Amino acid sequence: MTGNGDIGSGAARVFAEQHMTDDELNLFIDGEMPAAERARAEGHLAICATCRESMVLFSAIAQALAAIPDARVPRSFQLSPKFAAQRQPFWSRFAALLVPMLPAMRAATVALALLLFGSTAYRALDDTSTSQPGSNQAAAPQPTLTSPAQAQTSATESADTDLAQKAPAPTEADGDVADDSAAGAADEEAAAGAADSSETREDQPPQDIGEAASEGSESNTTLALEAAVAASPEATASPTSTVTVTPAPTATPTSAALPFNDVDDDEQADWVEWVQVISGAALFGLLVLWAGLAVSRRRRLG
Amino acid sequence: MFRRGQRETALTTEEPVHPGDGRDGEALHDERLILHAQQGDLPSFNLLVARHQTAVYNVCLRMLRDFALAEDATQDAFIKAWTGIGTFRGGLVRPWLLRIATNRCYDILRAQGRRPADSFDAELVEAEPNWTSQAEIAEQPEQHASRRELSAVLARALGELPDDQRMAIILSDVQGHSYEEVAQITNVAIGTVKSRISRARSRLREVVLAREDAREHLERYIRPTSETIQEGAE
Repeated sequence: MTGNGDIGSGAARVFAEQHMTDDELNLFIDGEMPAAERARAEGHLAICATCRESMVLFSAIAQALAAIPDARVPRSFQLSPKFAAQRQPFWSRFAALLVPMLPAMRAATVALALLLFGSTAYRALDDTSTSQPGSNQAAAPQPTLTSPAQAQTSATESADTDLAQKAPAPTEADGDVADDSAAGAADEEAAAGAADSSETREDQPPQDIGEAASEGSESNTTLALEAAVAASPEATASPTSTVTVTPAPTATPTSAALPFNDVDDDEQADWVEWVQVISGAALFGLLVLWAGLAVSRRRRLG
Repeated sequence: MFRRGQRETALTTEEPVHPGDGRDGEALHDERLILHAQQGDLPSFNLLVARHQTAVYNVCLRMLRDFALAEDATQDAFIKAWTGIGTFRGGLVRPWLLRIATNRCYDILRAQGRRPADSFDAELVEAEPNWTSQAEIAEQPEQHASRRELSAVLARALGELPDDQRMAIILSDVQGHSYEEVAQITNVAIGTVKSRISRARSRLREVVLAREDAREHLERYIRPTSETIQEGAE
């Protein structure tokens, strides 16, 4: 406080501790000061001659600036009709339509990107898991079996699904087929185990077994698959089986179980593929829109 | 108390562009005009040009301090406004137009790479005695003359301000826009606008008090408090 006038009481006394800054004075004369501060400023100006003089000076400058005359425009700046044809190229008009939808476009882009990534990752993982039976059997002397789908197809051609899933043992039990089989040691062991178990089975129709044996001999691939199925825990846990079969040490339970779910897996794979295609197409369209917006913005700024 | 928006009435007195087609520039509001213009109606846009070209041109002129450059900048601004009219998101038309114009001015200043010329100050101040303030109606002749001289000094002093401060003070004090509108036009925070305006006025105060003739005009203009101002200057 430099001592300009008498100091009042209350808020005025607090404000009178120091002069108002130039910022405060200009806010005051422009009416931009909050009401509470304005009341205190008025109290201070009532008692501080220095701040009052500064306020009058700033106010005079502001009024003199407002009184600076406008220059007359040298000509009309209205546009001639030729500009009507130049108005708004396609992208500018399109961008104008898209501007209000920018937040939704951002959200949609992120959502579609996540959806595409998720579906792609799901399919990749699914392919990896379903290709494992093929790889296991590739270690055996059956290189032609590449996927469970092929195996399923072969099994369907050779026998009906129930027989292929529930009664693979008689195929090996026939003996001839087992001899003809070129399956590896693991498959042979599994087949042998299944043959042992088949001796005590009570629900095996002989004619079905014979048919399966005669038709199953058409394909070594089918035999290998059936042997793997016979060695699987699902097969041994079948309610129709009365003998507990010890799976072969080299058989892979998870891979052997996959053919049972092939139908569901195919439907799910189709559904995921559709999601992947649609989300990819939509994301591509959105990226084209973003590129168009960028081009429009660049041309507008340029 | 200094009051804003004093020039609004003077800036809307342009002649209609097409008097024969039934349009009346003063009858149609900016919102209706801009809607028609967005649908490709060039005459409607030209009505907007007629309503706001004085303000746009004077902002360009005060910023660039060059008649030819100001003319080019004003024309460029209106062309840019027309070609990009689809990007107008509503609100007031004049701040939108002034924002385009100020951006163009900054581009020109950057391209020029120099301070604006000072040679045109006298010509500019004498260009048009278009007094629009309500205050001068009650002014005495001597006070009116002093204010005009003071305005000439301040118009000259504007050229000494940094570009940002000059733009803020032109839009605020010369053109009468609110702090919010200045912030919108210059695309800065309102706190920055307050600071720029305050610093600009402080700088102008220094210029006025440093010149004896300007100080005399100021004293005559604010005669009731001239004695205290003299003391403050000393």
